[in-house]
Amino acid sequence: MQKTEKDNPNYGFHERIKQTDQWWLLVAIVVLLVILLTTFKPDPYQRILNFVVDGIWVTLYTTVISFTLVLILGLFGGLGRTSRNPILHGIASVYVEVIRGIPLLVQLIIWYFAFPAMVKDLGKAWNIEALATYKANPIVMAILGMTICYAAYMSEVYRAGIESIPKGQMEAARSLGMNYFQAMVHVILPQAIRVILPPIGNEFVTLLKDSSLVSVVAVADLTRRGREFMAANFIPIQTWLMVALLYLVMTLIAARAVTWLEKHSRYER
Amino acid sequence: MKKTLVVVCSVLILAAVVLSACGAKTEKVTVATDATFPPFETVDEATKELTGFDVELMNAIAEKAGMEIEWVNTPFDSVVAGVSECQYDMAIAAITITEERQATMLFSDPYVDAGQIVVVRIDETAIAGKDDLSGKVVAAQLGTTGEIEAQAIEGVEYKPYDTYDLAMLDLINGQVDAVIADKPTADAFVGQYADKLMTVGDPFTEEKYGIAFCKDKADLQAKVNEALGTLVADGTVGGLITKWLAPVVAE
Repeated sequence: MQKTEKDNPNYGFHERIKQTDQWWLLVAIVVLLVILLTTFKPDPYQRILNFVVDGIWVTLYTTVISFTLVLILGLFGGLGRTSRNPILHGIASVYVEVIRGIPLLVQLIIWYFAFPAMVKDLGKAWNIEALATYKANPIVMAILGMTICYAAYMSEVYRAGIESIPKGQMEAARSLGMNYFQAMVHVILPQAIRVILPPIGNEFVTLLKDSSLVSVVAVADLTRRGREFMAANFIPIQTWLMVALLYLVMTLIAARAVTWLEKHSRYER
Repeated sequence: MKKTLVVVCSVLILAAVVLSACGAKTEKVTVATDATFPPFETVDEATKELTGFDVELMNAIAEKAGMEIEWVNTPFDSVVAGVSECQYDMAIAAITITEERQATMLFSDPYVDAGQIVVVRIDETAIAGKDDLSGKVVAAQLGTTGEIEAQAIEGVEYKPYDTYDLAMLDLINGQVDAVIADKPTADAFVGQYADKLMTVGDPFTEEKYGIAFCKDKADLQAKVNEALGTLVADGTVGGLITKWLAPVVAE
């Protein structure tokens, strides 16, 4: 019997990679659009870009710092969710169920307004000067709020990844003399990470967009900058077109980066 | 495992407390505002510094009273909430002095008089003032006195907006029939959209803008009131009104 190309288990996979790589074209189109607008209609587009550019930076670094912390905290959450220890499992489950059930906007407002008020009341009750005069730093609270919220989502992503690896692998690793953590670090997680790369990338893009919510807690991110510009100049269409394009550039590039990572990690398999 | 989790959590919370405490040690006064409210407060396009009537007034007061200002630029409902629970020492954001607000925060002497007025599209014929608003869709900005007044009118379908510019845009687009706003704000928008918007009737409330303080900051209130009095007497405030709120004076 003659083997056709389609019998190759990798068939379709390489085609898919080729196809997804064409999405770079979309990135190029959006970037080109921004360049064209700012070049040929500098008023207002170059003005808007100049005004919101520090907001882009704020959006990027709050997102990247939060997401780095999310990857770490989420791993602990995921390990807790898959743990057979009832206490760890209980703590992780309560954390995930409670946090993912509260909107990020509400959580941010709690961290920035309710939490400092609580600290101050405690400081007054216990007569601790440092706590009684406590003032929340907007950026720190924004990063804290986003991290705690998204780590709950990420715990579930990690859990899905860990549970996707057959139980036999853990048993085999343990029978070779590895302890639970060695087996996790050397056998289970490296495989799980490859499985969950697409959802991780998805979480990053979602977080980047949701970071626009930090504009309510005194962080001058891209969205807040856009609102300030619109309020001063009354040109909503142009302002939000520019802001939307800038978000799109960031999210599309992030999505491409994840695809690239996926491609390279899959070849190692 | 559990230990690591506890350590990570404590580090996160500690970092939040320590990092934030750094800012509190300097002898600065935190002043909150919402720079989406021209001509009172806005962000200068070239310098990206805060500017506007309130900002220049506050800077003049700070100079007179010898304070160093640390501005916080945040949405208006956050400004009011932040002052009432002492997250910020004070706030200058075209805040109307009301009894409800006085229950949770202190106010300076009033520095601008601004009653509420009705804004409609320029081709509007059915609305000639507050009394014609029954059965109409009326908008205002969330948390403002405009909102309180709009909701108090009988038969009005009230629509809240995050900022007044959004409310005005929806008015121009025909999605609401009228907007209720402070007269200086209304005049500023009518000035911007002279071919699309107009005010109708007279201001129907008596309202005064004051600088708000955290209720523990009576000393700050006294200092600011003294400086404000001097600035009114020497004509500085009058100069700022002419510079920023010209359409109000011209009418």
